[in-house]
Amino acid sequence: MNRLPLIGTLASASAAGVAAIVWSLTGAETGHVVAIGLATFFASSALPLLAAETVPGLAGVRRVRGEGIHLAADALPIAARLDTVVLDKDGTVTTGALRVISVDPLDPRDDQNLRWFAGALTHAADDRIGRAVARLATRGKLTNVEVIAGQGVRGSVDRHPVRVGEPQWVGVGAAAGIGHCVGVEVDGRPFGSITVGDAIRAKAHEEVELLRSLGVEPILASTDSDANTRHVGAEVGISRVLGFADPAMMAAEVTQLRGQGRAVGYVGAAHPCGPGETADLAIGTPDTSARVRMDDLDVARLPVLIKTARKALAQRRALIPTAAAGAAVLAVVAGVGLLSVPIAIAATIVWTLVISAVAVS
Amino acid sequence: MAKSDDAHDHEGPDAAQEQEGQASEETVTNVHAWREVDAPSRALIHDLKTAIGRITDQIATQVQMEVPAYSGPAEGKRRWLILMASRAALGQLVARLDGGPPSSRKVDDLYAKMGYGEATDGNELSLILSTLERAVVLIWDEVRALAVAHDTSAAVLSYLSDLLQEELRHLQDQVRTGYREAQRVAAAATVRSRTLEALLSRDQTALPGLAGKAGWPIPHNVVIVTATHTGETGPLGREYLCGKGDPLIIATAAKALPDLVRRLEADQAIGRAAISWPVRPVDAAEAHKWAQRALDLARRGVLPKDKILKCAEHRTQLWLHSEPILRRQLCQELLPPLLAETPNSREILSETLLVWLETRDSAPAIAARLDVHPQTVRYRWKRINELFGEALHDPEVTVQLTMLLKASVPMWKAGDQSDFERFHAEDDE
Repeated sequence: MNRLPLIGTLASASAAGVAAIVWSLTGAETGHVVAIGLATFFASSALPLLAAETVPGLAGVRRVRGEGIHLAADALPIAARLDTVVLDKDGTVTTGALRVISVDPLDPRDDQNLRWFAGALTHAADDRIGRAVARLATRGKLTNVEVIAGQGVRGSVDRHPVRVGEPQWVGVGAAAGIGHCVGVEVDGRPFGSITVGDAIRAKAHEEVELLRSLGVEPILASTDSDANTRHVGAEVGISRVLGFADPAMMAAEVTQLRGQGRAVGYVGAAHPCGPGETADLAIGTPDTSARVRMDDLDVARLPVLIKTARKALAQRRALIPTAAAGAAVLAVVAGVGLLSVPIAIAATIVWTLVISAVAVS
Repeated sequence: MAKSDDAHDHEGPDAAQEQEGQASEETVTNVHAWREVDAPSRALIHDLKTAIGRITDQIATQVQMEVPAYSGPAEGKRRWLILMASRAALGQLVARLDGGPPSSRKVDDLYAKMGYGEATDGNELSLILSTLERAVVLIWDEVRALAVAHDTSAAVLSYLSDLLQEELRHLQDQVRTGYREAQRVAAAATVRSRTLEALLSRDQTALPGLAGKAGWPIPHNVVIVTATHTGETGPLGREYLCGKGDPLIIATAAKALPDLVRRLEADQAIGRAAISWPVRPVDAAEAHKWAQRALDLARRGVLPKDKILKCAEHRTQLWLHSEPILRRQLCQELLPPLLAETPNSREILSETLLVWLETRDSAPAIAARLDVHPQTVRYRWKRINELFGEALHDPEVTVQLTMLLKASVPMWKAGDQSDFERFHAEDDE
């Protein structure tokens, strides 16, 4: 509980009491003594202190909201002191979607045909790989489409039977390397394969560098294969990666980091008993209960959050002594009888507004 | 429509009845004169009237037992007819005794139609005439028994006997009239049928004579229609020559075609009708062949399964399917690469190749015709080139392929797998 208003109020009352005693010892009339006591009380009010304490945080929250980051003011101090962030690969440094990185027909002359038939059929597949392959072609005239869980999709494109799915299911050799490979069969004949990989955000590398310049170490974690995670890490400049990591493994990693005295944030999808539960600050999407919710998990939002949080904290540290000093000066002026009660109230309000304006700016 | 002539002439017995009516009128007057002298008692007439049901039952049973041609089940149509005829005759007799008219148009019509029916059933006239005599003997036995029971005088008994004989002669006359009318109609139908046969034959020397007898003026241009039917078709006028059987054959002048098409469309019994384009009568046999082929191709799904098929709209298919063996052999020689494909692939590739052969259009244009994506057409074209190679650049081969596919693709699409099966059978051998 913030005790600053209580302390400020007690200090105001004390100052008013001291002023009233001194003036009564000088033999002033009772009415004058009361007026000076009240003027001193209002002039030394805790209002400017309260503004210095809260307005920087509220201004920071409002500022980041415009950047698609939603949080309560009390999460700002935590965000400000983060020195490590664990980034779930999907959605942070990548768009979360996949993209085709290689098309490998068995007969090189079938390159366009492979793209067309696979792309047309996968418009019927509602998964990340299907959506990536579907971008290769417009939606064709599909019939007898059947999605086979864990295998792929089959159906007819312009009456040609087509299968797109796991290479061993289709009977096509998988291409070695990074990404996810799917085999394609047309008219009952193996046709080739298509490899899809992560779509890395355009400015991910710069944003990671920016994080690092803020003193925050990024760690990349993913349930995807170690090779794919390392590949993405290398693309965006993150050397510390954690592949094949399920939520429990990520949570253990976060706990270990905190044990080393680090302030750890986790950015990614929410999982029960996952890293979001063990981190100092869980950062997720609006559909989660994370303390910080971002419109998407784009890594570019993190530097904005951290910089804003740190700025709000710095402002508060600077404004509290200033507000206190101003209140003290007003109390002295009122105590010597230079301020009437209305003027003392007006002066306090003006000072509070000045402090708030500085915080908002 | 097959019975059109019969139906048309069915009014014959009624018309002939008029002529016969005059002959019997004289005798009826004599009997009336006699009746004034001595008449049967009211009680006898009443008893005879009440015995009609019993007597007709006896007649029906006796006739069915003794005449094999009229035998049948107790609840059958034949027995019902005998009962109806007997009841009508006895009713007429009683009515005359009771002072009614000497003859009834209704009863006369019935017996004339019975005679007509006997002729169309192929029975001898003598059979029904002798059966009537047999029935009259039965009736006389009953009448005589009743007369004796009523203590009737010999004069009245004689009057009753004469009346019965007179009634028998009158009804036999009606039967003869109907029988002769049926024979006349059959003869006319035979002439029209022979006229149609002559029209459809290569040797038409007999046609003018037969057409004259049939009252069918040979038109300048004739149209031949063949039609499948599911039952009795509606009547047609004398301007149409109709054959019998299934499919039905109709020949008519070209100018009567619109009316014929309307009738065929409206006739529920017509399954499908193929109409040749107008030809000179000398080419009627060819027109008949085209119409038959059109019906066959529609049955096989090559031509649309419309109720009315106009051969003029399907000339190419009629021509291409005129040599089925040639098409089949050419198919096995030219299309093995296609026949080796799966049915689905074969159908897809062949229809694409056919469109290309016919139009030589770009991939997007062919795709628009086939309602597929242009890349699908490019893929198919690559496959077609793999299958046929350089042959597609040989003009002779492309002409043959065009005709062959134009004839075969509709068949395959309609589900005809014979080319495919033959190819695999030969392959296995």
